[in-house]
Amino acid sequence: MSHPPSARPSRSGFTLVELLVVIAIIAVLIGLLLPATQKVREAAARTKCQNNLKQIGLAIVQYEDVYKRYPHGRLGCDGITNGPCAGIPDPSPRRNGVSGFVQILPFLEAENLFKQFDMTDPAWSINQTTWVAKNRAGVEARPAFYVCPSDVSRPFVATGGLNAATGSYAFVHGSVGPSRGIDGNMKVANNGMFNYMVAQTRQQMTDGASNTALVGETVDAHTDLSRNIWSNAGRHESSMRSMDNPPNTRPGTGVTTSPYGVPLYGGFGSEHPGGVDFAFADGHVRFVRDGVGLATYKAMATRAGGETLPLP
Amino acid sequence: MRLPSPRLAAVGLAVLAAAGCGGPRVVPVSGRVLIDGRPVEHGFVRVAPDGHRAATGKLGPGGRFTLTTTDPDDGCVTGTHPAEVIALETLGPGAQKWHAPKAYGEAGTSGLTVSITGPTDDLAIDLTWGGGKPFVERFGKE
Repeated sequence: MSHPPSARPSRSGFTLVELLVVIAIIAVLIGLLLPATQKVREAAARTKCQNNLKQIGLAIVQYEDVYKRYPHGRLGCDGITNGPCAGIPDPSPRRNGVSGFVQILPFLEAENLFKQFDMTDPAWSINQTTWVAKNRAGVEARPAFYVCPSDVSRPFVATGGLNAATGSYAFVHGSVGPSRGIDGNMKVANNGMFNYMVAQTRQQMTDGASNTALVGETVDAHTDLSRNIWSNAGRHESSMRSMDNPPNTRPGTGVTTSPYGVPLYGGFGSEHPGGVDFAFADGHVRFVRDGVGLATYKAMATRAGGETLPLP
Repeated sequence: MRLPSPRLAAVGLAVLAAAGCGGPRVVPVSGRVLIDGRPVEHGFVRVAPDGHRAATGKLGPGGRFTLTTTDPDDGCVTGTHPAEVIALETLGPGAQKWHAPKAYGEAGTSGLTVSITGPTDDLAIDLTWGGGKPFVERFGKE
């Protein structure tokens, strides 16, 4: 069977205009859908992020229940010799820089990871010659419950011969931060629930558990301006921060101090639009808006400031 | 179609302006800090409004500063607010210098207030040593 050569084959197809219209409609639909998808993704990430904070908050509550005191912000003293750090030999396990996040690991069902930290020669101590090998596995581990899915920080920081894992959360050191610079009291005598060396008790938290923030979110954990290694703590950086600067102040701006050349702002921040999540001492998690007044924000940080928080 | 009369347009604009700018707003603010007449060139100024995000400015040559609330140099919210001058210069890992009394560094003790009614480039904050002078704090080991 064959067509007569004179008859043109009748092909039904799309004209160019039709095709362009279809493409344009699809483009508009994708344009509408994409932001919505992104928002849903961020909402899901934020839920996971808040869930992590809830877990961390409850782990701290359980830790307090067992030991009748809160974890330290930083287990040891570093090099200072004032206040509670007087008379401690150097080097000594009591001068180590392990953060409270290491102490609460057993309460986050991470007993095995906890055992990776050698507390007789602990990580981040002044004597950096021996601990690196002993604690490497712990310092280089990055447990999922210390990472917020919204946080876009790089996972590791190369330091001291290690690839130290970063985290998305930090303890509340107090309402005072870079505005007092490197004052020795900044380490051991801030007004929040977590200090160097000193462990607070529930009795010291006279502002009440629902008015006192324990842990908040951080950003840019891999950068010098806002470095956050979860296993390490230091005033103005890593997993000890203050409410000196408003939430979501850009790292390196606001009130800063530069003892090592880089302006440290020591603040909390998040990639969620408009605020930062905090875990409080009674276990609840609250989204604190960027526009919060500084006095209210600082009241959240203090354990015995005599303030209660206005209802949102 | 007939265009609306200019008077009607003016009334409309006024209504819109009143609706949009009724509350406090963030306006560009810069100024200078002097202590006993001399510029304070190190540290920070902070304005801490009640119920609104605080604004910060870094002190520079001539004691000049520009306030930032959210975006760089966007200014400060209008109104009368407590202020702080944190005149702290870091001298390295073991020392820091105060260029004004520490008390000015906290809203609770500074006794400073600023009134911001609109955009300004000459917000003046005047401090006094009251007999003291700049001092260095040294910390032995870190």
